[in-house]
Amino acid sequence: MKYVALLLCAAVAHGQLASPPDAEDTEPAPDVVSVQLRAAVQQGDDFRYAYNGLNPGPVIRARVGDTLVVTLTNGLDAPTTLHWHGLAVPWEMDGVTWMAEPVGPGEERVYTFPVQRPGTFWYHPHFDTERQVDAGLYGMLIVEGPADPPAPELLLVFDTAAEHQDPFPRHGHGRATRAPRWLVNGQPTPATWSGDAGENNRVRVLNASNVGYLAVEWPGLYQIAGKQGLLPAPRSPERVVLAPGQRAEFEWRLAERFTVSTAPYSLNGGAAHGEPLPLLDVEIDGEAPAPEALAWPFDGTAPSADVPHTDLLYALAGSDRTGDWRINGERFPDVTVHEVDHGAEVVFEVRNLSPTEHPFHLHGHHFEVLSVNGEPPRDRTIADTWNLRIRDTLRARFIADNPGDWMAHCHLLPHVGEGMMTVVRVRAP
Amino acid sequence: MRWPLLLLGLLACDDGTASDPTPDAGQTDSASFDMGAPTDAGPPDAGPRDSAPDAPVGPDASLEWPTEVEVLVLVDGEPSADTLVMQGGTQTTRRTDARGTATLPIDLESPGQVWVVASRPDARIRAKRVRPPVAQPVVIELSRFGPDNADYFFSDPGTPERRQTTAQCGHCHQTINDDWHRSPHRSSATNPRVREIYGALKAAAPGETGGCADCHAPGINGRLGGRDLDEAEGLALEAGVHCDVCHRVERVDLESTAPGVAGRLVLHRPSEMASPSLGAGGFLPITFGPSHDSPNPRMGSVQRDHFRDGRICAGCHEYDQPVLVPGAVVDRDRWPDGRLPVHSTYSEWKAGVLADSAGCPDCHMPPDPSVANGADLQRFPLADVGLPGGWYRPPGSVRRHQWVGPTARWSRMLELAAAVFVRSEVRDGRVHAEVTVRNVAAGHAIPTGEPLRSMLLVVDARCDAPLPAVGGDALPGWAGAVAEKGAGEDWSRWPDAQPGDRVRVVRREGWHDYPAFGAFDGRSPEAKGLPVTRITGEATVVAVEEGVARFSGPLPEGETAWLVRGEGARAGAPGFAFARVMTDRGGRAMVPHYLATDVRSDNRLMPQAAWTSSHVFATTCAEPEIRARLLYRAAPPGLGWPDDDVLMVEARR
Repeated sequence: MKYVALLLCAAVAHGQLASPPDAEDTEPAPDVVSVQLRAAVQQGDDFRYAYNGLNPGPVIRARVGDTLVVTLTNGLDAPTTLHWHGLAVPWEMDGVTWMAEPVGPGEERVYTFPVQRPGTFWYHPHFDTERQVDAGLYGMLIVEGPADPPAPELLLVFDTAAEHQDPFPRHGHGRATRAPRWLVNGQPTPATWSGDAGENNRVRVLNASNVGYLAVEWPGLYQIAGKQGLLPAPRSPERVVLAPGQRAEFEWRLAERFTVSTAPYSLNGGAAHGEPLPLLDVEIDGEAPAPEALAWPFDGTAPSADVPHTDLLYALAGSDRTGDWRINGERFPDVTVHEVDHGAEVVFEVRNLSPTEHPFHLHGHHFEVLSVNGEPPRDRTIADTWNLRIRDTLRARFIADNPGDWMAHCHLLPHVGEGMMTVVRVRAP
Repeated sequence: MRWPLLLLGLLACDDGTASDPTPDAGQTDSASFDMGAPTDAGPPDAGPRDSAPDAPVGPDASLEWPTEVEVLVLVDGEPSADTLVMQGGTQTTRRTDARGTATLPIDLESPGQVWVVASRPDARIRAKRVRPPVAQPVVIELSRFGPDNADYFFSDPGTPERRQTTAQCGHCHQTINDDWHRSPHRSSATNPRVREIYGALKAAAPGETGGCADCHAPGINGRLGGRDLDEAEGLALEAGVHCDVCHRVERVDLESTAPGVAGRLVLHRPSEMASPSLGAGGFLPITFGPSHDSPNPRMGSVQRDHFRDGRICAGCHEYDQPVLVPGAVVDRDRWPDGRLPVHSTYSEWKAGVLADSAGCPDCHMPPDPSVANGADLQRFPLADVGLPGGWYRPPGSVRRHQWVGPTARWSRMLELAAAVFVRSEVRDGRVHAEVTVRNVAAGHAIPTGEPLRSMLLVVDARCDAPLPAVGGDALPGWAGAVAEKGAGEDWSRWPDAQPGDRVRVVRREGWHDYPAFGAFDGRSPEAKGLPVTRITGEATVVAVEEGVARFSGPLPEGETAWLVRGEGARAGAPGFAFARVMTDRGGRAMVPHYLATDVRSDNRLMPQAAWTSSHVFATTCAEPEIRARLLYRAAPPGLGWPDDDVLMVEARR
């Protein structure tokens, strides 16, 4: 075990709920993390697939500058791949099958790439994605930053159970018959976790659901990081919406028990009727005052100014009635490949004219949000997955520094299979 | 106890039929509507709950529920084949076989009571509550409904201020009523511009109704279609397109050329007496809507898909109009059936790339996840969850009834529809710009609907100061001018000119071959009717003496000159226009459609279609900025309607 954080993580893994275990690093070199992942069929009520027999899969940890080497063995009855959600990896490592073959049953493939940005990311297949992610193939990937203050960690991976296979569809875009059944770290909710009074925890949260939206809330919510690492400044909103594929980090300064809930929120337009669902009861051991906030290196960076031109535009359309979801009127894989020059600053715009929200995800790059509906973000906002509400317009920019063909798609996984994906090509230098 | 409340509520929610229930009303028929009393489907369970829960709960899990039930559906006493059955509040459906039977899975996690619903197109939906032990099969009896009834009087939708009784739809459907009340559908008959145009039509073509009332006041009682808009009074006037019209649409006849309730919208108004013993108990309700599991007898619901896919919109948002001006002749070579396309939004959508993907409601009636049911169940915590009040539907099942469009600026629909992209290069002291306008988001052409609408692309360039346009595409004369002169006229005389006015000069260079839709598709560029209009230059009026203008410099040569004043007069300016250009018999462009004898051109942008125009400015710097603004104009100047152009999108580079 290379990292202090691992020990701390293990230390806080008490109570009924624990963080998912870390993957074993089999490489002795200090700047290489080598991990074995075996995707296999398993027997389970909620999950039929697992990595290394775990749901969620093991946590892959690295530090900024490390080289990650992941050997995937496919023990499934179907082809699969590994995609590194939120990380800018070489395109041939991205796990998409647009221009590459998946890993067949019984086959093995080595994914290797350097990790360059700190943050909370995740991995999952990008082949037969809706079914395989729903079946349990996903895990958290953490890249630790050099300036991170040491803190015990709690990792929370949320998923809605059996969305793909349920005979009474829960994800029916507004005609789902029941509230989603949330799992946290593979356990039913509400779960219970216990921490020590006076302790300060870094809590990393991932929404790995196919279509379920979280609107997490608890008293004194204090957010420190988003989809691509530390925020420029901490935030204390009433709740944080996490669309499928999105992550966030929080600080829990423990003093009194509280409950983590998700407010009623629908992909069909946001805040919804209904009651909050409790997800996690946080119990407190002992008595102590809440500690001070950790010394995160918030840099207060202001957002870049929006610009009056657009290089790429993606208009999202479709309907739950037809199950036909499109970008610019095109249905993947019959799409227009937009090409941009290597090194160019690309300004893109995404407009949502459809009757649902969509978490828009760009592969191979992170992007800076310039404005939403004409309003700039409060602080500099870096993302790889951005949720567009109905009739939202997102304007953002990215540096096209990663040559290859990159998927841009909605991360509601049924929508991917139903066409809402396109390709942007970054030309070779 | 909630049970009396429910009964009271149901009685209150009827128009008299509940006080004298009949088998057709289904309210005492144990094989159909059930208020919770024991039925032949099994003995009562714990019965109505004693306390009103804040949120719906599921069935009593302590009972032994079957995983599925056998359902037998009868219609007029005979087995009803191919009939949809479902558990209310779920989305799992089955179809009955030739014997009228089906096996239906039961979902005990669905909130509320368990009701089995049967729905077929020619009968009112009915339901039966089931509780263990369930006597199978569960029998549901349906009755085919009667004919349309011209003697029916359309009922009152109510308003947010006036929906105190259950006579108004808005009494229960409050959110929908609020939405509708703010929508342009409500003011379709009172809209001052509609009235002005209608008055002008009657003056120009005495005896003509133009089909206006058939869409703008479809709720005129009595004979449907061919009515005079001036006949509209009371609800037909004040409520315009309202609940009791749209939800009486049994069928949409897309083959009909008659608009609205005159033909395309086939209405079915209640005809069966609800209380024959009283003789005046009103009619049995019948309401067409999107849901199969809407069995409340107060509604008398029947499901129709045209509410889901938007075909109902084609009733009015699609109309080819005969020439109305007396004595005017239509060019049969161009318009073989003698009709001019006026409204074609539906066929634009049908021919567009989103026709298989998204329908009208998907953009114009977005979901409202804050509403639990079309009848606002979440506002009435005492309502039981089940048949009487409907079900708590999953968030987003209920759609807004706002029909957002260009008049609902807050909806941002205008901003979302189109995109503008600019490219430019400087050579030989000039900046050459190419501006592409693309319909990126609308599922129909833009602009669409009322043909007075247009989109104007306005392009300018600047270094430290604005740069003069010396070439490239120009906006047409109908974009606004004080006066126009053609080749051969005296270009020195401008009696209406004032110092500060400008005269813009253009020349013609053939015809644009634009991607066309409908009747223009496949025509030659000349027949498509859009001239290539290039800027040659402009001069400013510095003085006017006895009608003769002096200019800041010599007027450039060209074929047409426009005198322009102010921002709104855009004729001859660098840019491009997108419109369906209707002309009168004098050749005047962008006239109201009642005056039209021809459609000269139609270069509106179909879904995902793009058009690139070119523009040239003399530049004084190496990196001039090009600004391209796409403006929405609701009506051309000259009608006396003081609209400002609305900025849809702007790009600068």
